[in-house]
Amino acid sequence: MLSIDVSRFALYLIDSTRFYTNPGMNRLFLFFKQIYVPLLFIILEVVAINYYAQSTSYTRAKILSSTNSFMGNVYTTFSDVKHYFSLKKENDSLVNELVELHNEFEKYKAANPQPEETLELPESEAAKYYYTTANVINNTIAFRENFLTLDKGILDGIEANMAVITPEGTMVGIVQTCSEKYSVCMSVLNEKFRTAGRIKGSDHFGSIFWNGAKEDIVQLTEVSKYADISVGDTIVTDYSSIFPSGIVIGTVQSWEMVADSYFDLEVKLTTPLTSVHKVLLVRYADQVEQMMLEAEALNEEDNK
Amino acid sequence: MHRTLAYTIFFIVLVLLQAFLFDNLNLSIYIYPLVYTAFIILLPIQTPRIAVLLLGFAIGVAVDAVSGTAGLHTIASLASAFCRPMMLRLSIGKEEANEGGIPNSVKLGTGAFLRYSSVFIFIHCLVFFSFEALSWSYFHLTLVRILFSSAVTVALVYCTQLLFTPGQLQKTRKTQ
Repeated sequence: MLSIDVSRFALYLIDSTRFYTNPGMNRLFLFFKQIYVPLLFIILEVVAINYYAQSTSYTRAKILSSTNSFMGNVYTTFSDVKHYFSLKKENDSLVNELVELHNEFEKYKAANPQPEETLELPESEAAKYYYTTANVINNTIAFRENFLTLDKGILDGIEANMAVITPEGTMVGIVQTCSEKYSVCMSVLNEKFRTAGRIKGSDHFGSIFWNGAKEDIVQLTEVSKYADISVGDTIVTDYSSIFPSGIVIGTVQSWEMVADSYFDLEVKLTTPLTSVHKVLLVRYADQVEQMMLEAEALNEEDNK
Repeated sequence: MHRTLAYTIFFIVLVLLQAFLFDNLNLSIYIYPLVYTAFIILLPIQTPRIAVLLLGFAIGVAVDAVSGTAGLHTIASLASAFCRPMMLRLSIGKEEANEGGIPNSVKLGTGAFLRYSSVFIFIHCLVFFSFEALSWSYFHLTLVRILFSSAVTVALVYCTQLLFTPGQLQKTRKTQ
C-alpha cells in the first residue's frame, strides 16, 4: 500500500499541476496527516526508553549534579525550613549523647585515675575511621531503588563507598557518587543494597537486603540454623569494608526456617529512613587495601 | 493565546512542587503523587494533538531533570499525553470535545472530569511504576503502588483544577 503511494508520489512530483486535484495525492497527504503524531510519539518514546535503559544509579547523581547549581540551592533552602521544625528533637538527642559520653568518660577516669602518665593519643592518620557530618536535602522512599542526597561533596572530603549512619549510630546507607558540593547515597531501602548483619552478642551472621514491601523492615537472610534467635534481638553490622563493626541496624521482629538449613529474619529498622535529617559519614582508612585484597583473592579463586 | 502565560507559570509551579514537595513527602513507600500530570490534563480541549504530545514530553523532561530520574517521567507522560485525545473523546463525547475550553470540573461536570482524570492518571501511573520496577517478581507490590498513587494523585489534581474554575463559575452564573 505504502510502496504504491510512494511511486505515485514520484509521478506527481513531475506532474505538479495535478498536485491538488488528484485524489491519490490527497490520500497520501491524509495518510501522513494521520500518522505523524503516532510516529513522533513512537520516536520520542523509543529515545526516552533507550535513555532510561542505559541509565545506571550513577546517572541519577550525574543529572542531579548538573542541575545542582540551581536545584542544590533551592533544595538546601527547603531542607533548612524543614530542619527548623526538628531542632528541638535534635537538641534533645545531642544532650542525651553528651550525657552518655560524660558518663563513659567518668568511668574511664575512675578506672585510670592518672591518665596523663599512660594515655597517648595516636597520630590522626593512624585512626581507623574518619567521621564527618552532612545534612540530608533530598530523600525518596517510594521507589525500588531509593536514594538520599547530601549537601556535602568532594570538596568536603566525601568519597564513594563511605558509610552513612545517623548520629545515634544506626545504619542509613552507602555513598554512591559525589559531585563537588553534593553526594548521592544508596539508602538501605534500595534493592541493590547489600551488607553483612550479625546478631549482637553472638557470632551468627547473614546478609542484609530490602525486599521492597515495608518501609521499616529489612531482611536478614541465610543465618546459621544453629543460631539462637529471639524477638527483640539487636542486629548490627559486621565484616564490612564500608561499615564499622557494631553499627545498629535494627531489632528482630520475626523469623522463619528455610529448607531446614538456615533462618530468614525480618529486621525492624531502629531509625526509619523518613526521619533522617542529619547524618554522619564514616571513611574506613584501610578500605581500598581491604577491597583490593578481597578482589585479588576472588580473582585467584576464579582462575583455579 | 491569552492563556499561554498562565500555562507557562502553571508548568513551572508544578515542576517545582513535584521536585521539592511531592518527591520528599515520604508518606509511605506506596504513595508517590505525580501531580504534574495536572498540566497535561488541564490543557485546553482544542489543543492540537501534536502540541499535547510535545508539551507532555517537555514536562516529563523537566521533572526528570529536577528529580534525577533518567527518563522515567518522560516515558510516562509521553504515553499519557498521546492517549489524552482518546480519553477526552470517550469521557465527554465528540460534540462537547469539538466545543473546546479547559477540561475542568465546571466545563465537563464533576463526574466526567473525575472519570477523565482518573483514567489519565491511572495510565500515567501504570506506565511510570511498571518501568520503575521492570520486573514481574514484585508485581503485587507494584500494583498496590499504582493504585494508591493514582488515588492520591486524582485527589490532588482535583484540588489543583479548582484554580482554573473561578472565572468560569462567575460566567455561568451571569448567563443563568
